[in-house]
Amino acid sequence: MKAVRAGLLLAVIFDLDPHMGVIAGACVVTTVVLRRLSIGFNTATKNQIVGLKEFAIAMFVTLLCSLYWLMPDLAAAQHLAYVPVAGKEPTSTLSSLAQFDDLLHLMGLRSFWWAPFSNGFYGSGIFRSLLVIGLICGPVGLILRALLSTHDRGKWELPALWIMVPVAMTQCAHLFVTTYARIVSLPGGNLFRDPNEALPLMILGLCILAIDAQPVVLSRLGQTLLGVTVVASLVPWATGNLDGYLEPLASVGTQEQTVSWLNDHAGSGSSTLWLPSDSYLTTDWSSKLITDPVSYWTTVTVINPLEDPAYDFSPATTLATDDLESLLRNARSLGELGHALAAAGVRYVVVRLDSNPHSVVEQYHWSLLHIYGVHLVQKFGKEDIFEMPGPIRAFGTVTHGMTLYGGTWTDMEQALGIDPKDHRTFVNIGNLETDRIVYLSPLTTLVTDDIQASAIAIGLTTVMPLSSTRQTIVVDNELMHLYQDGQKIVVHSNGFFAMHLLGLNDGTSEECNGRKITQLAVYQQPDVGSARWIGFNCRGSAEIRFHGSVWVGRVQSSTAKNYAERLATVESLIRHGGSAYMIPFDQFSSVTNEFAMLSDSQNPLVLPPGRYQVHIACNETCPPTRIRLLSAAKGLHPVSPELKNGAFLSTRNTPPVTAFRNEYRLLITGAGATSFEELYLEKVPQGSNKVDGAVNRHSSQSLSFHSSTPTSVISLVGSPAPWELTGAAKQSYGPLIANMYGNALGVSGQSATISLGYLTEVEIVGMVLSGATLVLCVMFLVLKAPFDRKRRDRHRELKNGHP
Amino acid sequence: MLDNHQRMRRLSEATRVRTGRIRSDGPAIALIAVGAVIIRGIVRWSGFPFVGDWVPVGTSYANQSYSPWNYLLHNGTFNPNLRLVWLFEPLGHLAGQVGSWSFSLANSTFLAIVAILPIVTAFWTLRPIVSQRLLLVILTLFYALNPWITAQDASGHVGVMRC
Repeated sequence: MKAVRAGLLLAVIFDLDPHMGVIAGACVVTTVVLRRLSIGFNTATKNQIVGLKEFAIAMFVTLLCSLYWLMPDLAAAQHLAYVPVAGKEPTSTLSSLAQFDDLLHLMGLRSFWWAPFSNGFYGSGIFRSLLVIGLICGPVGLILRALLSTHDRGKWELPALWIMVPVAMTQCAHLFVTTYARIVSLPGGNLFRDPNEALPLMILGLCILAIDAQPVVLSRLGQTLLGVTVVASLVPWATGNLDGYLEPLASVGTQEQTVSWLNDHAGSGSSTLWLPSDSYLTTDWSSKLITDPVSYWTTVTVINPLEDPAYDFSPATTLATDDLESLLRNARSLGELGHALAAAGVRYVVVRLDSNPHSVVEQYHWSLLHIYGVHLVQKFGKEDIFEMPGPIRAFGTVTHGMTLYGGTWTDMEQALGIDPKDHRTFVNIGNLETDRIVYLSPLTTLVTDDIQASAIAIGLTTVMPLSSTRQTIVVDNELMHLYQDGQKIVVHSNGFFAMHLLGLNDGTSEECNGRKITQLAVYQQPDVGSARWIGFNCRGSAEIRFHGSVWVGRVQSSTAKNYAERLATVESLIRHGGSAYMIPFDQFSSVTNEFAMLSDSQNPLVLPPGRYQVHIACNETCPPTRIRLLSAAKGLHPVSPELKNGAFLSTRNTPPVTAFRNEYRLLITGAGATSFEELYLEKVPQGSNKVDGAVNRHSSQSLSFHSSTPTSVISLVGSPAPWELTGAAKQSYGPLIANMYGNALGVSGQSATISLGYLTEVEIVGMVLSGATLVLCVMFLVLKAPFDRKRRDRHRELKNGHP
Repeated sequence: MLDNHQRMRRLSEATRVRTGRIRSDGPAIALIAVGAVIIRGIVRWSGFPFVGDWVPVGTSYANQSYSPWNYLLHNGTFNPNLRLVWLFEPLGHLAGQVGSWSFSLANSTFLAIVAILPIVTAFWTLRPIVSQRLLLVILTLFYALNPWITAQDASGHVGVMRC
């Protein structure tokens, strides 16, 4: 009966907070083990063996009662594309979590990582010094008393162990963070990535020390010291609302109205994005940092990412949103961004002008007002709702194949510019390391402006981790680490070595096995504000030394053969009908006093056969521009005769579609180079991965599709949720992150039902098992209680000498 | 008829019982008083009880919380709060619509319970094993309102309601 009661209690603790469940379990295990050690294993009495049985029963009851969430969690860990707790814990995060784990904070039990709670609650100046002393005098007094006491030391082994474990953990994290990072990266170790989560064990140990001291009377001094600690602990609570933290906010601005309007207008399937997208907000209507409530109050999908990497199940969404905010903040490449958002399934973007920092939010607002096709549709107080230009991507679409692209919003915008009315399924070329089937499929197309960059991004490579203790930024969907002047990266290269860099102003020096590299295999010109790739062939020790500060993104190595194969794969993808190759302006030489796109006569750019068009984008309205084909290679004449003779006018909204073939020389004259933001020569797609079929939504968890082709790609709006196909169709690859905020699945077969909530079955089984256990335990306790009471009474009577 | 002596004896006995009861209930009374003081500014009929990671919940969140995959949150994500469905589902439905009086009352009362429940559980656990009344009060408060618990409360980590 005790075991069942203990099991139920443990289940409640475990369900409320798994950390505490583990700590409670550790308490029980250490108690049992120490007791058995003290009595010796061979001399254990029958009662003590029964104690172990009771422990096992309690654990079993706890486990069964928690299956309702353990089963879906474990199933998810098996099926989800990305599980954050499985990742390696960065030392920078651990350093931050352990920053107040010095002994002064620890002994006062105020080692929580957030300074306002560990320090701010306890005043300032002399008052704070007094409180700090007050907080540590109780715990230190108890520990000293235990250490100095001479009698019955055996009683204090257990609390000593409970105190020592958290102390060791916090000091390890505080002083040897790299070692602690290795420990918490082990399976299950992530539960204690914040070493302060183990502190309740220390608190229990201190309480046991005080309780055990009772028979010899916790001296008046001891009680006084503990009393002082309690009084100091109560200081933050003296206000009646925990220093204002637990007091309800009087207002949340106009969030309620905006959420309500969006609930009524957004419709199912489309998404909304709230800017700023941070998980924690500082606003005009709250003096404290608050968690963004919108995701919890809405009935439509909200994109705003959960930015804490420890709990983020979709880091791709976080990176895409960071990239978007960066574009809006810097007003870069805004032209067709509205269409790109619509193609990602975003219908509404809300700008919270009452959020801080105001300058950034106002920049978001300005940028959205200047994006082509984006309209301000509603305003509530200081919250403005913008609607993206249609058509908004439907919740589910079916296409023949998928289109690979660079993976950033700028790349998406460029790709959409080629055939804006055709909703392809866009998949980031950098996310295909394990899906060879995608880029080897004849139905896959590619939109790229750089063959080498695409080749580096595609295929199987060894991606090398960078030191996580460095300062980082996110640029164009990529996490980059800061390296200072004179610092270097040395890695083992398998044949081809490449690195993505930003801010390379003063160059680098490269060495392979100690020999200086004179000719780089890749030296990409950077896009405006973006990074570039550099790479060289090396088998052995590859070293790059930086001359000036630089941000380093992806670093990879592969065999020379593998890289050559990837180049060939990209070139073959460009030849697929529907692919497009864009040659940016920076790959052309310039001519004095003219803005020219001239292929270098010494090194002519040879393009795959096809039709090409000139793409121009400008910061504001494009100036009148003359584009003239100067010459073409022998036998390869332009298709359009008027182009040969002279020029045509280009404006922003009516891009010229003029065809010519192969080698070329173009001359562009107009207002000068600074007027143009983008200037590309694009291969005109010969057909593309058009929408061909339909997805029908039956409920939030059940869909069906039909396609006119034997193989196709199904794409949905929203993060990669676990899918299950039932029916004739079979999954051939995926799911893959598609259209920035969506996911796609390759299928063979022309129709099937898609179940989005296959975990529900697992959940039902878990709930039934947990519920049945709970009911049985309660029935057992209720039915057995009268018998136990009778037995106790009889035992008491016998003890008192009555019949 | 009782004589004066007997009457006085009975009265003194009653007084002794009453005084003894007050003495034995003293720690509980003291802790109730402390509890009342520390939550006196929390429970409200209006407003939005935010605290750290805790967002006040209503019907809309109650409807999200039972599914292992939450389609609305963060562009669709695994629901890490499934283990607390038995807590959030009734609380959300009890709270009702965001901004209503029931929303404020239910959520602020919930936070007040989070703050005082450790006192209740610590007292319930320690009372059978701590015989000294003052030490019982001190240890209960040390266990339930120490700086670690305070930081967890201020962070909105509602799982701090540890039994």
